[in-house]
Amino acid sequence: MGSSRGLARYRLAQALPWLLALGVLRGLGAPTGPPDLGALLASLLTATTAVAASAALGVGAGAALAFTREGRRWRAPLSMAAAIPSVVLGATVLRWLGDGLGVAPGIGLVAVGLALLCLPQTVLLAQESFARRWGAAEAALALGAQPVQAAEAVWGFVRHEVTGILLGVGGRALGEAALVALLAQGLLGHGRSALQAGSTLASALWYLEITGRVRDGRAFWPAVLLFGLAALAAAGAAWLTRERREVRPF
Amino acid sequence: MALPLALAPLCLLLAWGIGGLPRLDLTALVWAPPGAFGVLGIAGGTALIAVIGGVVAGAFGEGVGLQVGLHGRSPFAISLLAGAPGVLIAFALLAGGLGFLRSLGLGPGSLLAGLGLGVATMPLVADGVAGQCRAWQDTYGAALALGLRPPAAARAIGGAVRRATVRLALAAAARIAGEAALVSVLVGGANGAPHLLRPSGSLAGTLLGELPQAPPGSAWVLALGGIALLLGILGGLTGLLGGDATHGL
Repeated sequence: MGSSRGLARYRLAQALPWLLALGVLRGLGAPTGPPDLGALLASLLTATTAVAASAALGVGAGAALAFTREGRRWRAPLSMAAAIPSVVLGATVLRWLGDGLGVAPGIGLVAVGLALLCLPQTVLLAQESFARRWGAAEAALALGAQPVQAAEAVWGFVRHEVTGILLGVGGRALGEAALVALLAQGLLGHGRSALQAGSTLASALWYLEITGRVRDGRAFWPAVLLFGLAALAAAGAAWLTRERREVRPF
Repeated sequence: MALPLALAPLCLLLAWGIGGLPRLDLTALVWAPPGAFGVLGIAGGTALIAVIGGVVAGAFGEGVGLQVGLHGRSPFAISLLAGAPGVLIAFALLAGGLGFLRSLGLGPGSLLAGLGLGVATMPLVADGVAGQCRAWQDTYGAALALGLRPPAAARAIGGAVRRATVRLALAAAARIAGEAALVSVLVGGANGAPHLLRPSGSLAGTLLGELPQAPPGSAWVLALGGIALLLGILGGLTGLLGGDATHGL
């Protein structure tokens, strides 16, 4: 364990993110115009919707499952739902809501798809987080605290973690390209610009990649903005979900 | 309300896919809709990408997971990689490293897609290995306390590490099979037999590329439902196999 081979692979793997950043920087070229605010707004709007739905439904459901005996039973189906590939989820939503119920492809359908994508993952992660802190609630109740006070104690422990989870979920929603490309079909292709309002940063970048225009200056802003937002979300999520230790200097 | 909503896509996928599975020709190589629905070629391409990606993710993930779990080294760079969207990794490979990769004879194909996805999925394996390190350390200490010599104790733990890594690499491979945006760019999108260095196809790339073109209610849509169900089953197995380690990805 912890052999020199493991250390060498660790060092090599640590270099990979910087190689990624170098690759993105080398491929950028010069921007052909100002940043496409429509794609940026669509990305933020859909990611915010996914995070809001996850926060409103997923965190509460996760907390409820953590504190009930039935919680363990739901883990297997939720794990399966959380692991459905995004393209499969997007195709299913398009098949049933788009073709079946006649909902027009667009940003609304993208937001629904992203919310459904993020919900099971949020429930599971929130359940894990609350279950880890169950001891604090039990201790509070044993000391005579009211259930509301015990709930406050648990929330005090997990609020950073839950914020980190939601940030991670938002980062995943921001970078999702396959699902967006499927559910915003009317906004991609058909002679329209991939970068006009309606398509997100990730789907715009994907569209430029599949059409062989990655070195086109139009990829500059989607790549830069997506890299920046994804790095911010990853950094925030890693910071907030790290193991916190009580440090008492004296 | 949250639980039925979270599980609704699973039920809808089953309803669509069960009708579509009989449309697939599991023994034919050629996928040429609307007439031929042979999935052997694109399924083979998916398997090739998943195997390469699983090996890369397993090799890197074990090293990273052990260092993070045993020594508490900062995993921030790895978190950054875990949060990088697939389209950005594809962009870096295609735009940034295109000249270098071509000089190595590495154009779009299963090898490039497997390497890219292996790097993208590595944090899944690393997270799982790191999470189990504490238990392995405890077992190692207990083995020493019981009088086992350090090499023998290390061998016993090494077996557990290898088994966990293989299990997580399999979960990563199944996750890779369902990745669409990055694969569709890096594999090249052809429908023939799988090839390491030439454009070939994948199940997820086919679903992403063809569903919008297929007329609603046609046999083509049903066949794509079969592909979606196959990928959904693979994804579900990932969730069950990888357990908690896969939730964060």
